[in-house]
Amino acid sequence: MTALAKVFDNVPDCVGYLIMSDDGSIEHSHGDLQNNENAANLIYKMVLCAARISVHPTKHMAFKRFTVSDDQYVYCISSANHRIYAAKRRQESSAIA
Amino acid sequence: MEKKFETLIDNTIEKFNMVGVEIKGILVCDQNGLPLASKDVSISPGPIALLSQLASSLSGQRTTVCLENSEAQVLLHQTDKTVVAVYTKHAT
Repeated sequence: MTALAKVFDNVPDCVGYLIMSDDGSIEHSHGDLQNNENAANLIYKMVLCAARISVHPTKHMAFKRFTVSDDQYVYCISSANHRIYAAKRRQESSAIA
Repeated sequence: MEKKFETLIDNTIEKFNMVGVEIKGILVCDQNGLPLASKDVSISPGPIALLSQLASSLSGQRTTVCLENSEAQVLLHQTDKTVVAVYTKHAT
């Protein structure tokens, strides 16, 4: 069971992660996202919504990964094998050249 | 009014091209998902506006969402009144 959570061990600057099943229930959570039902609900809704957005402007191509970045943190979200994986990482630098 | 949008879009595409990023399409819509302007895009923007709103409520600040796969990516950016979606081939 915890073998799943080990995938996040090598993620640099990770301040929290979340693993959900494909019906939106939380399987593991850690750090900033631990016990954060609000964030989990939002991430679940975002995954459902992003699945309908095409990555290509004319054909329909689904995403493999999507990221939400603000000034301080970036949420990296992906799904595989009926599970949703989300990692919250610190942004290295917020300076935009 | 559409001409202003089109010039803005063309200027943006030029700027991206100068940095070496190839743009395949641009779509501008309002916060409700109604399209305002588009270039080379034939996808309706409803879920784009919703995704931007969900992302802002997740982080509490204005966010940029990037959906990607191995061949292409979309960048969604929210401004005061609109959501801009930029489709590129540039996948890092």
